[in-house]
Amino acid sequence: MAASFEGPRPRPAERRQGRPWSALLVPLAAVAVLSACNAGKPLVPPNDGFAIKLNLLCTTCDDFLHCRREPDEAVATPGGPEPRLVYRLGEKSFWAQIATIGDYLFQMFRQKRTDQRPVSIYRDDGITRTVEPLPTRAFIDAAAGTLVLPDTRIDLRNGDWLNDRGERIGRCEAMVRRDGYQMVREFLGRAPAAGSVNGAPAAGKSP
Amino acid sequence: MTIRKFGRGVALALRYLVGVFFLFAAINKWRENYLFSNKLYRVLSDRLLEIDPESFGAWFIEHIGLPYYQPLAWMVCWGETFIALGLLFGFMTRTAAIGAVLFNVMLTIGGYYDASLIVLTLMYLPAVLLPTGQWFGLDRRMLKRYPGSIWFR
Repeated sequence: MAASFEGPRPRPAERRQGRPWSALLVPLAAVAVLSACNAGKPLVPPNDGFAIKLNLLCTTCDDFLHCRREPDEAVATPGGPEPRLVYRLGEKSFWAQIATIGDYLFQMFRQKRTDQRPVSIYRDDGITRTVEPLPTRAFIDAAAGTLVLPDTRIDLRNGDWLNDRGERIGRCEAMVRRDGYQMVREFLGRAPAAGSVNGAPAAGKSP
Repeated sequence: MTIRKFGRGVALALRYLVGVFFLFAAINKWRENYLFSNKLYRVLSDRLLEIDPESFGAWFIEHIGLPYYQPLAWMVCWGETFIALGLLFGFMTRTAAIGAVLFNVMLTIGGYYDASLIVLTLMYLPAVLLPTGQWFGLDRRMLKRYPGSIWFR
């Protein structure tokens, strides 16, 4: 082996000892580039003027939309509860929740405008109560302000309930979530939540 | 050797990704003046309306989060800032990564739990378990200056 008077070449880690600022400059440059990409854009399109506000970034939220046909053809049975039809946008599935990490990490590059949520229909015609999970997901377009349900559509800006031809068939409004959960308990035949905001007992009708 | 380099690269990339993630979260808190406003109170109040009132998260927000929102706001604001700086500059890197894991625990207790927290915690773990601050960051220099210190390992 030939002798060398130069000694061993410094290893990369040792070479970096002479330029410690690289440890600071690389992350700073990365942050500066990413910040420039975002440039003050809100994470989701603003929904300030919307009649129905849905949080696109919430993975565990339940949203309850109470829809009434106009003119309302459903008639309450004497002494019975009001007929109602409620769309429940449920929380995302396990894998869909995990996938939202991308929404947070890539929000620096692109704004989240759409979302999909599982949906079920809670229907009470005054005599029977049914819960119908739908196989298709609800599609939220926050930029256009529409919620596309498997059978109908809702204009989130004014709450109009539209059929698949775009004709107005009624009106929808977002329920207070606690009222929504109370309704679910009523449908399941459970007592309302202790200390619930409304505190009103359930209508006393079990399925 | 190549696999080892690749592994180190992945661990460092994850560290920077998480660091940037926390940095943006911290910037958001500073911009919204968490320290000297009731912003966190409003955020927690909104969250209370979003979650099931019978859940543990709702109990925690009602009994701990809302009454003690001010010290919590300081913890969140400064905590996210130190975690971000620690991970980005490789300074007390493992401590910062442990802080990130604890943040996830806090989020879970505070009613902001979902499945993504599992994956996020797995993303933080390489920076806890591996000496990434020694590979690239200020920890290497600090350990030379203060040999034996547990904070820069």
